[in-house]
Order: sequence, then C-alpha cells, then structure tokens
Amino acid sequence: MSTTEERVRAALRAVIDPEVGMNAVDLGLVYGIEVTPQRVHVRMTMTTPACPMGSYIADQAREAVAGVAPGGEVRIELVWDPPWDASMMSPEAKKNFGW
Amino acid sequence: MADVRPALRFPLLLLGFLSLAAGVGAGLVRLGWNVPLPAPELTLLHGPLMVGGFFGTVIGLERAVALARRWAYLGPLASGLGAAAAVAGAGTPATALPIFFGSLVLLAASLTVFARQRALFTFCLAAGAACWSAGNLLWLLGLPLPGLVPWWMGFLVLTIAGERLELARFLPPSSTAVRLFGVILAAVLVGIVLSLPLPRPGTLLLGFVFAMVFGHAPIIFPAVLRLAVPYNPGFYLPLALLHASVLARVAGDLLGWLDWRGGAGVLNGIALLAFVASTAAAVVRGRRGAQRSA
Repeated sequence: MSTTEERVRAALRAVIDPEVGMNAVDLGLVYGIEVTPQRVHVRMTMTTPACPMGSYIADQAREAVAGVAPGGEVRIELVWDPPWDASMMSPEAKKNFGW
Repeated sequence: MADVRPALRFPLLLLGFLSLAAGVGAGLVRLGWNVPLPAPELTLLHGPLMVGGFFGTVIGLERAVALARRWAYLGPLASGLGAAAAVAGAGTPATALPIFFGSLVLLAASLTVFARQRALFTFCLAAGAACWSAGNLLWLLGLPLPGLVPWWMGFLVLTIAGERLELARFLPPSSTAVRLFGVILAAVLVGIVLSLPLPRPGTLLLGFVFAMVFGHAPIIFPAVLRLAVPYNPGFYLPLALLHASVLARVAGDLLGWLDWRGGAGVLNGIALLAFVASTAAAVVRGRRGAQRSA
C-alpha cells in the first residue's frame, strides 16, 4: 500500500457519519482508493440508499482528501453495489456498537 | 448535476413549515380557540395540512436529498404547493390533487431506494409511501377524512419504523426480532387495510411522530440545507413541553375535562414553536461560531 493511499485513508477517518458518530473508514464505507499522479479516486458507499446524508458525507470526504492531495483532482464516487452491511465495519466499530 | 442545490431546497422546507403553521392554527380553532385563519375552511383541512402538507413535504424532501435526483424534488414541491393552495383558500380538490401527486413521487422515490437495496427497512419505507398515496387517492375519491386516518398514520408510523430499523442494523437484530418485526408490520398493514378506527390520531402525531422530528432535526438539517445545528441541552425543552402537552391532552380526554384539552392544544402549539425557535437559534449560533473560527 502506497504512503499516499494510507494518507488518504487517514484523512477519511476525519469524515464522521453524524447519525452514528463513527468515521467512514471504521464504518466500512470506503470500498476503494486509487491514487495516480493526477488524481485520487475514492469509491465509497453509505450505510443506506435512503440516507439523506450521502452527498453531505461525500462533500466532507472530498474536502478531507483534497487536504492530503493538494493540486490533484479528487473524485468521490458513491456506489451502492455491494450494499453496505454491518459486517463491513472494523472490529473497533463493531465493539463500539455492542457486538 | 442531477441534484438540487441546498439553497433551492430551502423554499420547499418553507412550504412544509407554512403548512405546519396553518395546520396548527386550524387545530387550535377546532379546540375552541379564536385563532385567525387565512381561509375558514382550513379547519376541515387540519389533518391533510399536518400529514400531507407538512410531513409529506419534509419526508419527500429528505428522500429526494437521499436519492439526489431532480425528479424526486417534484414530490415535496407538489405537496408543498397543495398546502399553499389550501392556505390561499383554493378548496379541497386544488389541495388534494397536488398532494396526491406528491405522494406518488415519494412512492416512486422510495421504490427506487428499494431497488437499490432490497431489505426489510427499504420495504417498510416504500410501504409507508404507498399508504400515503392510497389514503390520498381515497381522499380524492371523496371518502370522509376519518376513514383516511389509518392510511395517513400508517404512512408516518411505517416511515419511522423503517428508519429506526435502518439504524438498528449497526447491531444486527436476531432472526427472531426480525421475524417479530415482520409480524408487527403485517398486523399494522392489515389494520390499515381494514381501516380499523384509530382513537386520538392527534396524540399519536404529537407524542410519537413529532418527538421523532425533534430528535431527527439536528442531524437532518445539516444534510438537507448544509446548515450546522450544534447541539445544546436546551433542545430537550421543546421535547419536555411536547410530552407534557400530550399528557395533559390525554388526561383531559380521559377525565372529560374539556378546558384541559384546549389548554393542552395551546401547549402543543408552544412546544412546536419552541422547537422551531430553538433550531433556528442553534443555526444562527452555528453560523456565528463558523465565522469566528474562519
């Protein structure tokens, strides 16, 4: 894993889903990070397609990633396949929700 | 861009709150208070203004923001304009037709969400939208309002149940709990279809549905309008007022104290006003805080 990808992932830990107070990475919302010299492409989902927070969280993610990839293009792609489920959360997040 | 800018969503929310104000005013007149109404027939439209004009509009807006598709915003626009027509004194057909159209758009949006993820909670949301549409169709066909109450309450109860089930997935419920939820959902739907009478729909609306709105607003406002609503403990005051008013209203009903009912109605209105005021004050504080830190 490249250092830049790690930095992008670390930046995405600052993006909080306000409904549950947990960050996007530990929630398992980040499906993929692709870094090229020209751009950072993040594929992410929301916990539900009925979530009105989707574009708000995506905008927060864009800001957070832009902070660690200055000058480059940042693309946040919201995807719904596969649908998120709770098993995608990190062990820390699961513990937080009482698993 | 297929979505609608946050600034353009604000007028839709305003239409919803216009309907809420008119609906509360109409409710107070029905409880015997001399509240000036822009159109006298609004007293007959208290239910449609609260359920369709207010909840239909804000739930439609919430679903449209989730879907991020322009067509989905036609739902809250139509139901909001239906409510505005009522306030302008345009009468029932001019109110009911756009609200019915708004409910069909919400149903289409909810079915799109269900198609994205086929799950019990998305089904529940779509079933809620279907109940609202069915109730509105019966309203257009001239069924008296009391017969529509189970359909309209079904819309709100199923929408809230679906949203709670959605949140419950963070600690997945046992298969027994899911089956039990399915049984309760089926029982609710059967009750609605049989149009079983629902006593005191107003208290269900206030004690359950509005309590959910109060809790939901600080999270949903930032998403819909991109305005921060920083938490403060004062948010509990409107909630306490609301529950006190529902308690007083139920006690007044049960004990036959008609004065209490009227007083409780005013307290209901004050609780809603306090909610709007505390949310608006928090938004202003949030903006000032953001300017200071910028």
